[in-house]
Amino acid sequence: LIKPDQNYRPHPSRAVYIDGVLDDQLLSRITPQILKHQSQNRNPITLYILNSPGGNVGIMQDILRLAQMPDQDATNPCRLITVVTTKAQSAAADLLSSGDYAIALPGSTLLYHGVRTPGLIPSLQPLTAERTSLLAHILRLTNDAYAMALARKAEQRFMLRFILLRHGFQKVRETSPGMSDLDCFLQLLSANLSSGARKVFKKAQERYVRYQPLFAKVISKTQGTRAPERRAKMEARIIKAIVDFEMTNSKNDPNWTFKDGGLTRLVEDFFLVSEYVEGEQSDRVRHWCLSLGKLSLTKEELAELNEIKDENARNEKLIEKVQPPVKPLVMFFVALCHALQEDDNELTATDSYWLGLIDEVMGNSSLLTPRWFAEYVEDPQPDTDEKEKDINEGAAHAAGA
Amino acid sequence: MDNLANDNERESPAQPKAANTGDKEFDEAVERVYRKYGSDLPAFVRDVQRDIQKSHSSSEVQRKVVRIND
Repeated sequence: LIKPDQNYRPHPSRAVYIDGVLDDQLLSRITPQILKHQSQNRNPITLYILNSPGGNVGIMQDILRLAQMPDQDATNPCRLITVVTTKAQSAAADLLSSGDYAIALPGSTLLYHGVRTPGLIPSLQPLTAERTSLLAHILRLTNDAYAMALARKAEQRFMLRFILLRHGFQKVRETSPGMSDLDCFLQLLSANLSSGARKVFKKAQERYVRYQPLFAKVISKTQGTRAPERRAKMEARIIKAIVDFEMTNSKNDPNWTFKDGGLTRLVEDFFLVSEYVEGEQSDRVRHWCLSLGKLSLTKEELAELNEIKDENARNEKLIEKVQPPVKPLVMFFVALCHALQEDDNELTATDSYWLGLIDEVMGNSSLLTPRWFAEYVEDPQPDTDEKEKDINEGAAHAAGA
Repeated sequence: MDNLANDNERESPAQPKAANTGDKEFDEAVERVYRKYGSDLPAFVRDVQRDIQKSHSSSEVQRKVVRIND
């Protein structure tokens, strides 16, 4: 049933090891190793993170860019398998989650937090109110950008958790009737988390409560405008929708103004919503619906779907059925990735699995992984085996005769 | 582990392999699972777990190592 697939298995002979701070020295040490593996063939490269407190985010991005580089003939990049053995913190945790297939050893820990860039403050210049405020603003925007990048990279992992837990929704509804799919999912997910991880999960839920009406407002104002003449036109629609939202939201606060904090919020919301809208219009979710998404349907829904003969019409129907419960899920995951950028969030390997930050906890056969799909081979039918045996025996007889 | 590394270094350059991002292969793999189990994921999970238990015998582990090197 299981046939090992190298795309999902770490391999020490094509590996690079990261230990310590992500800095120029580390980059200089591992660059020749990565280039050597890439020049040998296009098989996957394993990036082992032994024990790293993180470091320079730019270096982390350089490592990723280098490892995922095509060759001169534009052959696809080597697949990147990332494995944490002991500790991956900050930029090292982002590096781990950025792998095409991310694995954590049991007992390892991951720490996510926001960007810290002391380098932004020119050391010889004194801090002023303007500089401090600018720095805070830049850090917030940088955090948001990293949160969205993380969400883009890891959302499919989170959606697989939804499919995995979906079969328990009925049981949740027996005790709490009327709960939405997302609520059932979040309740079941939370039960699998450690107390530490539940803190960030709670923060994500609070963020989600704020995002929900904001996104709903923006989507209602931008629907039907999938391909505007200019990108700026779409952006203008988003900004107008956010202005409307913030005005409605603050109608009971006579002191609320755009000048006094409202504009900063508007800018943050704008980046958040634009990323979300772009993600929604991209093919990522659509592709997911056609692939793993169909496993989220009930037997009745599948039967209804299979009655449609035309493949294109069937696919459209499939997307129509799968997408509605997935949309709030993606929105929640965006909230979670933002929450991970607040404070320090230390997670166990199992927490990281459930939160969609990694694909597999090494050796834990109770947690479904994408590897299981990739390595699944149907067992040969006993009848066929017998037939083959008969044929072979027959052939041997004939040869002997 | 040393043996694994040596074996792999010997085979490497002679077997150039194209695109290895795995997306298309993964979609096909999901399709295979879907054809057998429909949306009954718990049944798939049970079967895989059963197979993992079976493969804990040393001969099976050996077989897997050989397959990876192939």
